[in-house]
Amino acid sequence: MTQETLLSVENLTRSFDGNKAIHNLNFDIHRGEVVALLGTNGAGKSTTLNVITGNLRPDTGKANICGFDVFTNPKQAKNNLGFLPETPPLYRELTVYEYLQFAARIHSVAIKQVKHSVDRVLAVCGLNTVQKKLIANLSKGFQQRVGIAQAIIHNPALVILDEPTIGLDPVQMQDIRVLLDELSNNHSVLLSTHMLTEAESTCDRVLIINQGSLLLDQALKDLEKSPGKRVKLRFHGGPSIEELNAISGCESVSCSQYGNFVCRYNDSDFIQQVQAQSLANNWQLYEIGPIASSLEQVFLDLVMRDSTPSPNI
Amino acid sequence: MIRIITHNEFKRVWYSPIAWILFSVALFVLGLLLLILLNNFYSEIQAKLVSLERAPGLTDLVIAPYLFWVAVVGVLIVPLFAVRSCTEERQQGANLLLSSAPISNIQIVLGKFFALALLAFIFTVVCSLFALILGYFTLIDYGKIAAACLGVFLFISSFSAAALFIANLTRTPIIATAAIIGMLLLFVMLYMSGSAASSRSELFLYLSNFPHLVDLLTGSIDTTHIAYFFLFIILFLWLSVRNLNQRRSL
Repeated sequence: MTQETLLSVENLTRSFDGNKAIHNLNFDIHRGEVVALLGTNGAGKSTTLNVITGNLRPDTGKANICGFDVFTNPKQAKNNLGFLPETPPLYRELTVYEYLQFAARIHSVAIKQVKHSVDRVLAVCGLNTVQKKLIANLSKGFQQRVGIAQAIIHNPALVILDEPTIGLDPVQMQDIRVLLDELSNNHSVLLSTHMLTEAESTCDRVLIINQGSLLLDQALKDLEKSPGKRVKLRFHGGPSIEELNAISGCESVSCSQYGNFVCRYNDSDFIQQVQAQSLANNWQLYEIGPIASSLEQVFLDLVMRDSTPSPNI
Repeated sequence: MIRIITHNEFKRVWYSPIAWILFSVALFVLGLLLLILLNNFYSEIQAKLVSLERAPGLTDLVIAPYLFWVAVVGVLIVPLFAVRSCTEERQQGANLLLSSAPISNIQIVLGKFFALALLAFIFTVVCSLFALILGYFTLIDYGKIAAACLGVFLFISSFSAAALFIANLTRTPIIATAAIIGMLLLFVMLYMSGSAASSRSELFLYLSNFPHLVDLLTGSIDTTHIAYFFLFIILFLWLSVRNLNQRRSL
């Protein structure tokens, strides 16, 4: 069964003063997907989103939303799109309710449906208690929720969120992640972030972008399947590399000059086996901890490799 | 869609204390000015008019100058709300709400302009009520006053359109405000330079908004003046739309 393509990006290139901010980007987003656009600061994430949402004109290439080109059929394309920019586009002198009413009207929600739409997003985004407050008086976390609420007020097929948790405290971040989980039930979401834990906890697929080029487009479950979780081990007694290598599930072992062992493993029982062997052989294990998630590994590998200057230069 | 944007912009103006303070001060100053003009008319001018045939009346000597000052105060206040509507909005990133919505740039510009024009209309009507109260006590020429009010409204609206264009050029409110005041002074200079005996220039006079307003204040509704104001407004609205379109390519 073919999946319905909601967003199709083809050969998108955009330069600023001759510097290519994004270069020849190609990717699709299908109905029901939650996709993370990952990249370091300045990688080209916001430029990509601004081009997709019609706020920047590309030098070459095109972006189609639900089959409509963003620049030749902007109204039809934007009717299917909800966008939360990096800074939520809020009118701080309005109350939350008034602002959402306005957002509904400019997104062509019928007058009779406005109240229903506003009530729906107030409930979804947990804004019922602050609906009569001025936006200027809300905390940053609630302002971010209002920004998300305006993006989904017209129930668009595709929601694009540019760094929705930036600048929030850990509790607010967690609240927004829960909200993103709820959004993913009814919308396809393209989420730009440089926080890998956020992508891992909420997304189905990741796009990694660096220096304007797309380095990876892969489903998260395929990444997780990839072998090679890593763990750091420290012992008072200390086994040899060969002894650790002999534990089942261990792929490789390296030892630093300070006596830290780094093991790459592919068996979920590996940690228990290390603990058991340590007790049995009196290795005196005193520190054990994961080094990085597989996504973080992939991200760092790709970005570091891509950023390393060529020896010919 | 234009109506929705106009309604929102107009509402936002009145949610800010700045609008209430500015309009209160303006009405107070203009009320005092009318009082001074009236006092001057009764104490000095009226006696001199007795000997004249077809002497000008209260409408020409008090209400017309008063409405000229209404126009001057109006162009100092109303265009400033263009800064709030465009420059501040852009500075805070709120412009992306409209530019990401299924709305054309023409609708955005017209929506914002009509909100300013509505503000200009209300300002003109409220200020002219001061003058119309005089009609309860003496004879005044309502036709002339209507023509003058039309002139004041078009004059403030035309500067509002130009201010909208300038406010769209920058994201720094202070620069936008300074540029709008500079533009006002430029048109004043054109008028003064064009009407000075030593450097009289019909072109300068035609280009400046002031002579067109002055003619309408005398009660003569000349279609060339009306056309001038409409062309002036259309030119700057077109430039604003162009600017918004080009911003996507920058």
